[in-house]
Amino acid sequence: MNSHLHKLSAENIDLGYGQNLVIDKLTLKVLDGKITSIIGPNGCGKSTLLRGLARFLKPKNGQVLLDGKDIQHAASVEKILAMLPQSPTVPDGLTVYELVGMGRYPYRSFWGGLTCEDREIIKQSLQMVEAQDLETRLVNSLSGGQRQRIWIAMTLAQQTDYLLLDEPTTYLDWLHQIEVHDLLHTLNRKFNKTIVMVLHDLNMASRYSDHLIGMVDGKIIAQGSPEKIMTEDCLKRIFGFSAKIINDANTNAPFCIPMKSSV
Amino acid sequence: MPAKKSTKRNALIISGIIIFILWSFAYLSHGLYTLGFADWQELLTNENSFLQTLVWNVRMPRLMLVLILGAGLSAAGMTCQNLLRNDLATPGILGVITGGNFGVTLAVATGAMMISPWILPVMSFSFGMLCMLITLLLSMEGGRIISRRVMLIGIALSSVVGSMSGLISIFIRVDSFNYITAFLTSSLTKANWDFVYMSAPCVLVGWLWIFKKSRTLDVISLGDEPATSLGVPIDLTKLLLLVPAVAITGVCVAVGGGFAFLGLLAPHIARKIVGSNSKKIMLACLLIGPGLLLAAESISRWFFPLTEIPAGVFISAIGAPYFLYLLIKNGKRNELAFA
Repeated sequence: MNSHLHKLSAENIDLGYGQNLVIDKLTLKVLDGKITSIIGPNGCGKSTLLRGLARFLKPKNGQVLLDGKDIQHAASVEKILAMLPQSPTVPDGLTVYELVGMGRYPYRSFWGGLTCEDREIIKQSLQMVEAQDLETRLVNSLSGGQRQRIWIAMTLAQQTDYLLLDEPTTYLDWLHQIEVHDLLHTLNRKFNKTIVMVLHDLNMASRYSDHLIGMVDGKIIAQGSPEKIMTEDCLKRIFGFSAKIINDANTNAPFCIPMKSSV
Repeated sequence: MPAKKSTKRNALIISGIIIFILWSFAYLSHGLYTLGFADWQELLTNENSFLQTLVWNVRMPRLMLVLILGAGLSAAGMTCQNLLRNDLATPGILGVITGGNFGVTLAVATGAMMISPWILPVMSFSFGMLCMLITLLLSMEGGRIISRRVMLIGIALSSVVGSMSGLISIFIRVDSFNYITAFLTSSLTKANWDFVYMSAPCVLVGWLWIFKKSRTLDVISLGDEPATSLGVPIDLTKLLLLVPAVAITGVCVAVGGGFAFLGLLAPHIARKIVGSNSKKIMLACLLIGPGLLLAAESISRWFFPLTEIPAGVFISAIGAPYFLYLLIKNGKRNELAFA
């Protein structure tokens, strides 16, 4: 739709909780207009990194920069970058329309009501995730897949260039995983959204990402195209297991079959 | 279909308002001395000092406090529930009620209450706010207010302060002790116009502030991270909303009482009717909060005219079992909210 105007990067950041340091001096440039997936074993700091990029966590050292400014102090970040945490919950009684409407919060007027423009954008957002007919339903009455689509619709109503997602397909069956990934792919290709997500499923990551980031112990140890990362050697270094790599002719993406752990 | 739904809702609202107004008249009329039609005529046309004192100086301020406390306490309750993401939270959890009680106990025990009739409400309010400040300060971790710590520390502090009040009351005279007990029970028997003039502006300002911020409250009820993503400066906003909610409660405690379960019950009933939109809940609570309080007041004044069992007792009698029901029913979900 529009060419990318923004730049997101992390410069030498230390991230952690309390005294516990999870990420140590990490530097990263987010590729604009691409889909990036962060992969790595449990506890390697994937989600922590994402939360740092989304300004939920303040780096102990270093800075996350948005357009050259420290994201902790930059203005109107909420109009540029949206982040969807892992399995968020909503209060009972909240309708789909109300939840998607929250995406318009950054654009509220003094008295805070929804304008005609807001309503139009909420409608479009619901259409983009193919959930027009769920409008009046309660969010808590929806299935996991529907709920995830509605949350994505909320971030769409926020009209940001960046969309960060923490394990967007966890707890979903394969059909709904594919649905969510296809949706994110469309958002990237058609609407030029930069997407950064944490994924556990390597084959999904390989198939749907332009760029993979492999993390171990709070450090990035490899990054590049799926072809470059989905190799026996690289996966062994990241996860510590042996794998057989096949190039899938249908999706044109490397496909991995784990053989056995090296321990 | 939506048109039919809104007609039904409008009918509910209008009949609610009519019932409330009629009930208010009944409340003003009925009591130890019941005003008949002739009395009302007399009151409105002639000077009758007995009737005027009774209706204007005794019953009217009570009715006004019913409105102020009902609206104020339910809005404060809703605010805490959204901010702490827990249906069982009320400002009382931040220690404002036990703190206020301690202030009153202290004022009576030291004799400070003799200085001015304003001392008790002022002591109640200031110690309530002091307790809230201590709770919030202790709940901070690395400059952030941690919601689950707020609840735990609030409860712990409340019991410490409560036992200090208990300790003081051992050493004071029996009549002082009775006086404190009477003052601290949630009831509107001590109502007068001074209390109305004092509390109305505070509650009104606090209520309007929360109402103005209601969309922010909705966003915060999604959780800290989604709210941050939507651009809410979460810690500052929590303070800017918790403090007015607690202040409203402090004022209400000072002039009538905390009516412990009102802030729990009214927003919950409102949610069942209007959904989770804070603006709608606050408007619905304008009717539900005073309605519940008026009902409790009426039971206490009409059925127990001589003893006047305090209205707070009735609110608790309905509220406490309801509280238990909520705990049991939502046990699983609230564990999530605590996590």
